[in-house]
Amino acid sequence: MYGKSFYIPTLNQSSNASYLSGVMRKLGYSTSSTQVTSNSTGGKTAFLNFLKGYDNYALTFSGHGSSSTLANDGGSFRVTASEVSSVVHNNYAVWKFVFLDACETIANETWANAFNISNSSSERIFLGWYDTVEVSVSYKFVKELNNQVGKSLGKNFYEILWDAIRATEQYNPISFRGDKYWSGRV
Amino acid sequence: MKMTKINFKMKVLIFCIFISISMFLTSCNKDEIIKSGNVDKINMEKEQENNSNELVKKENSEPTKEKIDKIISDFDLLGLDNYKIDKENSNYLIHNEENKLLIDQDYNVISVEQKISIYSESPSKYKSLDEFIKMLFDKKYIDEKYEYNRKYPILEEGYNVYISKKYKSGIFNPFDGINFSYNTVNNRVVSYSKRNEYIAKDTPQLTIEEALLIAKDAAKKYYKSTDISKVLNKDYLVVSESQYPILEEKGKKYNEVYLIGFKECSVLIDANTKEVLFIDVKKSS
Repeated sequence: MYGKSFYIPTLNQSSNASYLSGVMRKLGYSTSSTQVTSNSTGGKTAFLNFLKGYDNYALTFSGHGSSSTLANDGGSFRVTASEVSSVVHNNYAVWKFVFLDACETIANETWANAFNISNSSSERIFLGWYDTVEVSVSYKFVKELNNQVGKSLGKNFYEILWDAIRATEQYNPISFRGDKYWSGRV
Repeated sequence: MKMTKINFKMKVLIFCIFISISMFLTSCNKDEIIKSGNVDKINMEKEQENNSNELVKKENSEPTKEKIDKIISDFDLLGLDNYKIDKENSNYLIHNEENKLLIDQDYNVISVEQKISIYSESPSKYKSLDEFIKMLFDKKYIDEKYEYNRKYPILEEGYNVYISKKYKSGIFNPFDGINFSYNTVNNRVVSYSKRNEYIAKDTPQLTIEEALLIAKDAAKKYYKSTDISKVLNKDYLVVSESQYPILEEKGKKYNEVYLIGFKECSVLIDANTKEVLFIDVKKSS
């Protein structure tokens, strides 16, 4: 089972991607990271190809975002929720762990629906920010999440999230969709 | 001649009597001084002995079950019924496999860690977060000098709450006070800790107006797209440098800062040195 961290090259997002790879690895996925800078082969194409599934079950993105787009600084890399939804549904891909680490990706249900994850999904997790989020806030949160996943073997993922949010001591506009009783481990 | 001799003898006699009385009185006083000195010394020694006995007694005696049970009841802690007590330095750790309560010798609660199911169905004695906060003040778990500061949401089902020291300048210091997390679904405290990590200065060197000018300049310089005409928020805070990716490398632990928020970024300025500490960019597309 594979997981991949996509990230934009600016704003220290490679650090976020590194921590999120750590989270996926601890949950049992074989992980790698890919930097996205454009809509060509290395960027959007790689992102959408990964979404097709096969043995891919976990994905994170660290960069700019909104309730319907993911992007880099200048917009040369730009993916919409409808593009993602189309690839996921056409390929019957099953996404077990998705974290879109960008502004407002859970401001509504658009992104979670694109990955076919809702609160009634069994053994699936979708995480996003419900408001705008600063680089430092998201950095501290993903760092702490990686730390908490590593030391909380007996807990379900939702409880681990609680611990991570608590430990950061900051305002984390993070939200969750999916199975609150699942450990997240595969 | 005879009279003169008698007078002389009389004078010698009176002188001798006077000397004897003086010597007697001096000796009496000396005894008394020595005696009272000894008493004081003995009293001091006794007092020291008593104190050290009390100290030994305090250090050696475990906290009473009655008082521990009262804390467990006040904090509505689940699952701490079969607890063990271990001494940690001068404090006592009351714990079982999953839950911890740390108290000092005077039964002040230093920290609580409680592993409870997010959806625990056993009824809580508190109906709301506000009721729990009221209990903390009413039962003196929190000193009167602290005030409710702020709360941050934990997902949609709880809060991280800060009750902190407030200075004349209006600044709240979250590193001096109480921090606890509270589950609003089952109205239970999940964690609680007493903090005394940093004492802030009462008045910063820099005014908010000066900070605003510095922030606008810094935002314009680093992020040309930022609209500096629109200031979204201004705040004077104590922050831990570990919160910021760049600052955490420096090793300094706390700062008093102005945080000036614009549409696309926030600027963090040291409220005493005027240094621009960090420009925090929002991840919106």
